[in-house]
Amino acid sequence: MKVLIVDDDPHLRKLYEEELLDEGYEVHIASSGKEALEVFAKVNPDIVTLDILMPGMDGIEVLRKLKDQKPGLPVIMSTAYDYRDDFSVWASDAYVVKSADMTELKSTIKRLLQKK
Amino acid sequence: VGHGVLHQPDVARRLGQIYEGSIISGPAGGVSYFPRGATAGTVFLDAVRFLAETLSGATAAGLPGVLMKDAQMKDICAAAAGAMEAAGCRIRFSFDNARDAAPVCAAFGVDEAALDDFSRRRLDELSREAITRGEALVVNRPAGRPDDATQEYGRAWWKSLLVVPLAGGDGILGAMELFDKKTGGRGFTAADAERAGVLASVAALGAGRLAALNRSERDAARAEKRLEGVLNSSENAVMILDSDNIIKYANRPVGRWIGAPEGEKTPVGRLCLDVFTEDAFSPCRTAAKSLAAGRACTEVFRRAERVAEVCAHPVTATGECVITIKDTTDLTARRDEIVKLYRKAAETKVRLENLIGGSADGIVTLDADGKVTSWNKSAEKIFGYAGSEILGSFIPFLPNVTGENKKEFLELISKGETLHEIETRGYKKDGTATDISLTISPVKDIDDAVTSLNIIARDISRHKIMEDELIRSNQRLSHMIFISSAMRSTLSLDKLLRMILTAATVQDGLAFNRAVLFMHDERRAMLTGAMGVGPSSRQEAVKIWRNLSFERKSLPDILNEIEQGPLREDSEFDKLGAALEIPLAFDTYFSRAVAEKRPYNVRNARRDALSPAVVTNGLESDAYAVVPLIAKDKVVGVLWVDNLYNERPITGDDIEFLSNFADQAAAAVENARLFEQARMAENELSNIFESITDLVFITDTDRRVVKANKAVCELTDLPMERVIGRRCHEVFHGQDTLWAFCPNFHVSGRVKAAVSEVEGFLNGSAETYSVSMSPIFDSHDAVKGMVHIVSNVTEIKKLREQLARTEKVAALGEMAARVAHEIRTPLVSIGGFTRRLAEKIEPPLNEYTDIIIAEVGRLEALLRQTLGFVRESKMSKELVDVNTLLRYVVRLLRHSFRGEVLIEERLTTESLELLGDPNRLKEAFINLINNAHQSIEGMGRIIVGTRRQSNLAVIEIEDTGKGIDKAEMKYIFDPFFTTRMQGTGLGLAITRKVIEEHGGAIEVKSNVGAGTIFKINLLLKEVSNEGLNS
Repeated sequence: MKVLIVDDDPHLRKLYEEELLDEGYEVHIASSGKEALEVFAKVNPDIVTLDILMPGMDGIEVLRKLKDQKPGLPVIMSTAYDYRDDFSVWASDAYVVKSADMTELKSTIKRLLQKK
Repeated sequence: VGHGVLHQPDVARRLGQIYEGSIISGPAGGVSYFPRGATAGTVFLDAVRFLAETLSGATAAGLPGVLMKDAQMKDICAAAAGAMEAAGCRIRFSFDNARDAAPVCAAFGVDEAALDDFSRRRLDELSREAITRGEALVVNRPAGRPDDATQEYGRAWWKSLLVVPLAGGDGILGAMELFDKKTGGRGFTAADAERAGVLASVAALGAGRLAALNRSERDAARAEKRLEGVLNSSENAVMILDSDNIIKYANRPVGRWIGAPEGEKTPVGRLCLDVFTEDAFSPCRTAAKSLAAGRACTEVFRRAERVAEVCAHPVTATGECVITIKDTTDLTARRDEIVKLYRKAAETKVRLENLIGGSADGIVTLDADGKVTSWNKSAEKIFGYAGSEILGSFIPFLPNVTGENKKEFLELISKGETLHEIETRGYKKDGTATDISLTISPVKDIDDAVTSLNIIARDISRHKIMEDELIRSNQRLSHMIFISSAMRSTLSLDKLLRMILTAATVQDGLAFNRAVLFMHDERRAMLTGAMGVGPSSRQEAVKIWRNLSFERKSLPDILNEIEQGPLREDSEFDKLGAALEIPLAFDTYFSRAVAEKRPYNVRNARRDALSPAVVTNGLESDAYAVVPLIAKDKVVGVLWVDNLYNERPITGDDIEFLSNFADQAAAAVENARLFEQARMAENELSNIFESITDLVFITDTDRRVVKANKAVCELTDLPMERVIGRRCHEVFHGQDTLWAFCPNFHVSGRVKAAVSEVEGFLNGSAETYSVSMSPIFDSHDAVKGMVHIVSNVTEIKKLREQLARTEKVAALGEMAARVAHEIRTPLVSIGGFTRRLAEKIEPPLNEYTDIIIAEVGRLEALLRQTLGFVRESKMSKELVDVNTLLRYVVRLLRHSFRGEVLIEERLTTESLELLGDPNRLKEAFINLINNAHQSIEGMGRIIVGTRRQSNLAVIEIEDTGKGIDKAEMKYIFDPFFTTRMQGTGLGLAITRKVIEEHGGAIEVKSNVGAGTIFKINLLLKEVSNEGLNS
């Protein structure tokens, strides 16, 4: 299973990568929206975690483009701020507030992939 | 026979019968008597002789016309008495053959004095009897019975009487009475009567002759005298010429023609030609002409100034000629005069006829019965009857004069009175009435009796019309004055407009049939019909005009009539008029009237391009007038009028009148309009003033309330009359002295408006009021009072405070979110890698990583709470059962509670369902219960209770904790306010936010050391309403 992690923070990218690798996923990372789309086109991931607040193209725009290209692709919105009331994130499949405790993120990825 | 001559055969015969053989003769043809047998006495014969001689002598004396002398008669009486041996004798005699009681003319031996009246009358009767019978009468009074005789014959002296009639040739001329025969002693005998008869015959014979002679002479003299008298009394001169032209007779007037003084030189016996010498005046010539012609001839002569008509009548038998000369000077003159008079009369007549014929007045003559006898042309013109139709009928043009009336009428005039210029109503042949003036004068004859009447009838209908017009104008004027005063009396525009229209149409107003009032809408450049007054049909018109009049009506009556009458609002015509609109953009009489400010009288509107179709078609009017209503040099409207029904042409007078009226009406309209505007503005102000929820009141310089609005009464719970006139501190604070905190205290004396916020404005209430005060200045800039506007700003103040708080929170929250976001990312890295590290290290090092992990966790929790408070989340609306939710929360929290804290549910069994966000409400309740838990130190109790209070769910969370300090109470709902070492300080702030988002309220009561109660009111979902709505 290929997981694409998109985050502008390099430490978080590293943390997510290692944690998910430990979980047995094939992890790809992207540091910006633009890169995310490139990686997506190259590796065709099974699931994507998207940071919302990023310089340049933000997570919501990336989400829209991803869903355009692959509507069935599960996308998890991962953010430091609770955007759940924002209509723009509705298109995502899940919403996880970033936390040092990765349990929620991992279980969400697992659930979505299983659903798939 | 001797010398006797028998003159009278009758007498002779009688004498012969009586006295045969005797003869008596007289010397001058008297009587001869020839006695036949008996011998006559000597005395008797002497008497006869005497008689005969006396009579003959008298005859011979030739005294015609003279009566026998008394002495002679007396002698005869004496002779007769002697001859008949009687004591007395009377002779009655009359020349006039009066057989009746001929008067006694002579007497002998009779004592007249001894005769009384009765005896005298008796003697008259006896004589009359004898005369009547023509026989002798003998009366011998019986000796023995004197009384009887007295009774029959009177108390006379005589004892015997013999009456013999005197019978002459011409009849009985009288009688001879013989009294008391002296011899024989037995009175008179038949023989005496016979002898007396002879005497009487002889006497009568003489007397008869005398009488005859007397009579004829007297007659001839009389006739001549009479003729002379006649001739002389004649004004005409009469002459008789004999065949020799000698004047045989000339009456007195002839003298005038011969220039001789009267009676001096009689022309009789002179030659006619000698008397009348002038050729110019020759009656002789006329006489000659007539004799030659053998018939009467008349010639007229003029001499000097005189005119004579000479008439000659020939008497052919004698060759004589009767000439009359008539002075015809006067006659001619008179005739000339008559001719002149006649001519004059004829001229006068012609003139009169011309006058009568050509007179504009009807001249009529009536006979005494009132029948028309003459009728001139003008009368024909005035009354319509031709002369031939009306002659002989009773003044038909005055139908009022009939019957009794007629008698009176005629009587009045027959008294000789002249009735001058009586104005009355006459009737024409066709029955129509016309106003006439009559002058009726009687025509009298010479005896001053009224024989006919003369009527001069003057047609004054035109005059009358003009007079009426004048009166009408006058009336109109006074009505206009009345109307304009009425107009000034109302300021109601609607009523006024209607009044204007009514005035234009009412009969004794301007008397138009219909009127429409257009108002000038300047903005739309349009004349819009405001209203119309007028009948909608001819029948209605007649009815209205009969009933509606300004006469003898009071102002309220008229106003009432206008509102209730047929000209009221909403009549057919009113609606028609009000619907009209005439744009001023087109050139019409209306737009001209507005632009040129002058009236237009429009005739033949249908053929006039300047007449708008709405008028000609909509109002069906072919002739009308439009008059602008001008007030203050502005056209405020246009008045339109017409006479559709009676088709009376609209005159210049009408227009002028209408214009005058329009000016007044316009002024009134303008006034009413201004008033209306003022009233509207005032109403508006008053409405605003009254409906304003703020307190508005005005005080005078003495702080007394002059005016106040309703809100003042409502707030103070005082009736208006207890507010007005009292001082403001009495009204609002119920005290006699000034309120210590009165803002007015500071403002008064200053002339600037001020606004301040005070607490305790009303009787020390805790509410907050904003008090605005503005001074009122009079025209001299002196302060007259103060306008106060007071509003309760408690709510506003609260809201304002709330807003400030929210803003504070929002600003804070935004910053917090930003900070949190920037913090979270490194926290995740720290926590995440620490966790990874912790898996790889052994104790006791992992104790450090655990600390790091725990602290990161606490920081993350803090962030979550902070960001959760700040975020503007969208609230869901789900059906929430408060009791169920609370039970869930209690169960969730119960496990985390310390053992010594008891939690107790006191939930109502009633369903408390409401619409809300269950998660948020859950959060709110968790916060409150957590707070309660944390406030308890040691043992304690938390009671969660619910109840229903009308449409509210009341939730109370009570604890037996330490309570909240009064000073802190104000801040407990503020974010980040906390008394605890732990916690974010956002719990209560979030809770209140949630409750308020749900339209609810949260209150707190707390006693330090005893505990705190949070009370939440939430609006229940109204099941019944929901059900009804669905």
